Amino acid sequence: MFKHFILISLIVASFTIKGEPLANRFYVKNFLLAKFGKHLEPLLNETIIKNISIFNGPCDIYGQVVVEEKSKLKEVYPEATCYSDISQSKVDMNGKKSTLRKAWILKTCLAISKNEESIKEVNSQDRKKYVESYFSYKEDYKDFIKSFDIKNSKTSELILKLCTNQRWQRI
Amino acid sequence: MKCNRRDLIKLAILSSCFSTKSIFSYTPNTSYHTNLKYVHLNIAGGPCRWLFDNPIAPFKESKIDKHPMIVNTFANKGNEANFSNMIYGRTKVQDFYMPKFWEMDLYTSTGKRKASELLENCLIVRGVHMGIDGHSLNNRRLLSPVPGKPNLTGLLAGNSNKVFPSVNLVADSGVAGVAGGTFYSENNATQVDVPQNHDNPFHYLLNPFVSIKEQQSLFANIENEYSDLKDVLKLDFDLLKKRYLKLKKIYEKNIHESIRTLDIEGLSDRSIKGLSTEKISLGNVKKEISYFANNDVHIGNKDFRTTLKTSVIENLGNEFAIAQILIENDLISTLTLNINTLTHLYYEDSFESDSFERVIKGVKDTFFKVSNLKKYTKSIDRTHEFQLDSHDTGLLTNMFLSTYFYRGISSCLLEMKRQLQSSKKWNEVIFHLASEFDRDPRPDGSGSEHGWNGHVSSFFGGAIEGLQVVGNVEINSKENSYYKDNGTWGQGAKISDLDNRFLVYGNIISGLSSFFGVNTPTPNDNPLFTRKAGKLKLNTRECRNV
Repeated sequence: MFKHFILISLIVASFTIKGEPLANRFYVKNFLLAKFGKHLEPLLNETIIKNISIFNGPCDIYGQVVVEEKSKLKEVYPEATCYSDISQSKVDMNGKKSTLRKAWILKTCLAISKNEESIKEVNSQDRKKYVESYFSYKEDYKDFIKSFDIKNSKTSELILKLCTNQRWQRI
Repeated sequence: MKCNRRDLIKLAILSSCFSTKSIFSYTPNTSYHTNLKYVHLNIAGGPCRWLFDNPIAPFKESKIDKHPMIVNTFANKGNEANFSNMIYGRTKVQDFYMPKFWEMDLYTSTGKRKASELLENCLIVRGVHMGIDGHSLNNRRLLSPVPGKPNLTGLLAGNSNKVFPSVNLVADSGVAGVAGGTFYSENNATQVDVPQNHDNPFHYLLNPFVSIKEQQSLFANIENEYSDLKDVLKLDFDLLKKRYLKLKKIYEKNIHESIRTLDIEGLSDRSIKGLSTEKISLGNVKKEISYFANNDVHIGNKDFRTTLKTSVIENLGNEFAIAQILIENDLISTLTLNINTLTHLYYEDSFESDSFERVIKGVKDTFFKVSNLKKYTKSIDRTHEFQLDSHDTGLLTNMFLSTYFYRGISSCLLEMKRQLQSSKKWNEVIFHLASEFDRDPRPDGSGSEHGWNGHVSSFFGGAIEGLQVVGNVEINSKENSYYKDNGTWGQGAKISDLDNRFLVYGNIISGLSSFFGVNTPTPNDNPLFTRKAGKLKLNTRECRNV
């Protein structure tokens, strides 16, 4: 009975998986913070977190808290804030492929690749180990090193190439 | 059935032979017309359409039962409006008798032009039965007629190869409760919601591309993965920005002139005495007092026309400028443009509406009384608005302000038409103007209720040949109406070509789906129109008052 259930589930699962989900804004932000430094938080809040309809990952209408700072209102929890409308609390959990998403990732990565602190962060580590740990799957790492000379490239070029790689965005 | 390990492995391998995408996964419609664009102009609130694009007597011989509130003209001569001589005026445009609105001039970048020019490529669908009352429900159904299924913009975007498959220009109505917020695509297409209070809404859309373009040399070695951005990056963003700013000025100027100029024959070409010139005593008052109501205020201005002195339609010029850029540069497949109402109206010597109590003894038996006359003291701001959900918008206020509201919108549409004709894009776009429903006017002229069985949709675009009007209406509103025997306002009547059924919104959605070449989300509703040789063709031409 249990075996029948597994068989049926496998068959049904193969019929129902629709496309590859992509990382949402929370994952993208946290991943880039971990890989390129926590100092990037303000940048990532602007380019990734605020673009709810582009990266998905719903906001939390009950988590929206603002405080006044230097006569301006500031969100205490950027991830919870619904920047446009409360309907953003109902966006999908997973991200989707789109030209705009690619453009924002590219824009963000260009900024990170020129960031002095990020460059220092990458330089402070063993390059090979750093790149190897960047990817969750060995195949992705192997494909990456085939197409890019990690040993002799400039750090800024390496950061850009890693950051803009599509593979880490797949979940 | 017995199942061993070998069978399990065989079936697992068999299952993995199917791609990770579902075999039922979305495949783009092969008949989808990639160059066509759909622009949904959404007005949330359900303002009346009888004075604008709902011709209640479309032919010379059309029978109507006059309603006291459906008037659009002061018929008297002289330079002062006479309230006892108000009529419903019409003007002949091609084969139809349209409301007198279409005689007026609209302000465009090439000077004054007749409003009827906009009807050269126009389809009006009247008398559409929405089936149920409700603002949010019906507004959302304008793009998402079946909850849980892909909506119209989602279907179009899902087939799109444009940079922005779908864009929603957000206005005061927000996103959640209106059509623009129903976006859903099975093919994972995305919609960008452009916030209206953003410093630079146009820049919001192009922001990432602009900065990338400036640094193109830096990402030569990742070009393959981002090759689909190449076409976008070829655009001259400086030129686009300059054009956007220029267009924004043009549209804003057109709107300003259209809504402030007092030159409409039979309406604003004469002074209109306001409520403050009336002598109002405590106790019962005549019902004509309610004609000056605008929701929470009874407008007192000595000359009613001065209400427009400081009026604006916020954000509309900006939205039309963005829309034009996106259409001309083939950057979108669908766009939802949400329209704000007339705001910053000028009031003087006005009264709070609380002062006037409407006493309802029966549906058609009401009277008004005053027990405490309170002056209206709030200063001009956005809340001085023409109430689109015009329950308590009296006869004069409705007649005057809705005419100017639609004049502002029409001037933008006509400008857009002329601009797109120059850039040879007019044939590639269908503009769809819609709100939840029309309105069922009150017998006492103090306002109107939801006319959910008389929705009106208007379409403008080069694929529409001439002016076409379709849909039957009741001469005298019958059952399922707020006010029965309430004259002719546009309540839908059955159509014999549809097997004697009411025209429903699904017929419009199926028509649009057919036109654009996508599967309709309302397969049980026959398409009202289709696309033949690049033109919109109606499947019925019934247009009777019954």
